[in-house]
Amino acid sequence: MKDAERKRRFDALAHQYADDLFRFGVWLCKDHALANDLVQETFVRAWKALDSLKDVDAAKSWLITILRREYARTFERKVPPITDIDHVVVAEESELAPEERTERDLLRRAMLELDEKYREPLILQVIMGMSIAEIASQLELTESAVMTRVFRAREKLRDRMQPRSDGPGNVHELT
Amino acid sequence: MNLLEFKRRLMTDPGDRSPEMRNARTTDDEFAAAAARSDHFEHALKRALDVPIPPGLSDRIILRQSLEGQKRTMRWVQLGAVAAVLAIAVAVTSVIMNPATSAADLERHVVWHWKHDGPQVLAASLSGPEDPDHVQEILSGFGVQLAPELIDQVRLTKYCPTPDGKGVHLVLDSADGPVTVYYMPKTHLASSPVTMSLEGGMQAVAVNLERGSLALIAREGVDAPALANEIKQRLAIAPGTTI
Repeated sequence: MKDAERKRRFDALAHQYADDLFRFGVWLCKDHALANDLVQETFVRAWKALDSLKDVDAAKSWLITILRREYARTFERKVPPITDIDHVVVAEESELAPEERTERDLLRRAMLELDEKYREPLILQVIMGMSIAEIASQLELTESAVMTRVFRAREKLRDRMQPRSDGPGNVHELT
Repeated sequence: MNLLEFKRRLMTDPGDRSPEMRNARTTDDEFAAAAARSDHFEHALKRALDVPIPPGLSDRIILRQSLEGQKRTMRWVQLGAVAAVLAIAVAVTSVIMNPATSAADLERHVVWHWKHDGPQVLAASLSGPEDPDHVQEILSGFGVQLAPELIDQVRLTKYCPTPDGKGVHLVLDSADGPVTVYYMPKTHLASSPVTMSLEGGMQAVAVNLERGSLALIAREGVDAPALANEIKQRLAIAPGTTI
């Protein structure tokens, strides 16, 4: 690939995916500053391996794979022992109504407490817009396992928000 | 599809707009109510996960890659010339990527930072002291090291946010009691020192360092500038690291 074409592809990837990867990174490592570094390192590695990306349509999954490997390789052990919402969200301007802010903050706290095995597939679905099949491929799980996990993730979040009276009841593992 | 199955599918794939799910949404009032509750929850969830993005994130990624590319190109140039050009590039990059932080911006950050976890971290530090190797390991990640006579005074170390990315939050013992230090490796102050008052009878002073800057927080009445200066003299660039 010629240098100019390589750079054009890289710039397009950065513009298209950096923000979502940052959001994904924030909720993966639960730390704003670490997520920033994680995304930067992801793109450093992406640049080095850019020639291996043959299918542009696979770019999102490819970048997520790089980010998750980089997280496991370097960043996971750096996650600070004290984690609260202010490590996740730094200096946010908000135009939300007070009750919306309360709801948002409750959900964020609940997300922080969610076990990683539930949190990760959920953020892949909600932030990265991935399908159940894509998440299964990314996490090397069966589709039914992913469905169970995102179901449980939502169930736990909703339980934290309010006592559920309309849920589907005692749902067994779908796997 | 019965109601139970409909709710289960909303919980696993709320974005499913297949004809079957679209039709189910209007089956009756119970289905419609379940769909409305799901839509509200998904909207709230998206809003909660939508954290602010650091300004210019993608531009900084591209800039960094461009600079890396320039460095690679220059490897073939004579060593002396490379060193000179890199020094200029680093200086220019530093100015572009880390413009000096104004006293007002720094004060906003320190006030926010102290308010959000200062007293709690200070309280947690009572279980210290911190393992000196752990302290040096964290600091060396930013290319600096603390002098041995101070390293034993560290009660707690952890990563923390700064105006320009990740930094280090330390609590140290001093003759006047524990003091909090925020080491900000990429923050350069437009003017130094900067002094400020905080809630709860606390004060802060920030100074530029050889690499980055620090803010020291202590009770009112403590000679904070002297303490900050003392730490400044003992927080040096680690051997083998370039500025």
